[in-house]
Amino acid sequence: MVENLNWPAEWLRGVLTPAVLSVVSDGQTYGYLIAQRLADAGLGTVKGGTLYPLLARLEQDGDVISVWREGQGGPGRKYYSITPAGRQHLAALRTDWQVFADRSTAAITGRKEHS
Amino acid sequence: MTSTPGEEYVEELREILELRDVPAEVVSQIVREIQSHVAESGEDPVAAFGTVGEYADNFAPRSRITRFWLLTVSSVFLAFGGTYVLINGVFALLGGGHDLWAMPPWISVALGATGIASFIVLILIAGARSKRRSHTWRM
Repeated sequence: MVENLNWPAEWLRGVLTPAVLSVVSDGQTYGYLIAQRLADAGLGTVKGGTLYPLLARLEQDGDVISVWREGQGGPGRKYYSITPAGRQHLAALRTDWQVFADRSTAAITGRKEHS
Repeated sequence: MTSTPGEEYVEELREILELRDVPAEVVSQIVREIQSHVAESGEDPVAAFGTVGEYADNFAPRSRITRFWLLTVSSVFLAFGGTYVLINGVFALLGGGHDLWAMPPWISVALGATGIASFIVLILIAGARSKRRSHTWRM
């Protein structure tokens, strides 16, 4: 069983934005927890240096908004939520991704596409 | 009291981002999120975020520092040079002093005034560009 495999960076690069947006769409959450969710999903460890700029881009694009919540005497946590525009975007990404994944799988495995 | 590696990293990052013309409010958020993550995960900042320069590259290009220094140096030349030439010209016009570089005094005055005016224009343009850039941030 391929647990904790180090996935090729080029593969992850294409997948991370939709995956992160999907996690955020499940409910308000913060960076460290998002990384945990992705690791639990079997995508490996996403470094802070990759994740936080990605979240910043999503916020810049209007797909998510953020709010700081104070912790007990610490720096607090930056919580992200998905916006309506973000939900639309995610829906489109999910549909497109399914098609892309099916075709890629068929191309790589040499088998015929489903559907 | 010595600072922890996390604090040093954060302070270095703050400096670099400010040097690269990232608005102060945005810098605070970027830096605070690192502190938040490191507090939670206990990771070494360099292991989690890369070097300070690498992480800063995600938010602002390195070329901004070069442009900043070019602006500073040329401003100094224009301002001081312009003032020097202007004052020399004024003195020569008033009868004292000698012609600077064998230039007629009124040319010295004109040149000096142009230098100072250019310096002011440069500063205004740089300020306007910086303001426009800071408005594109949505954090």
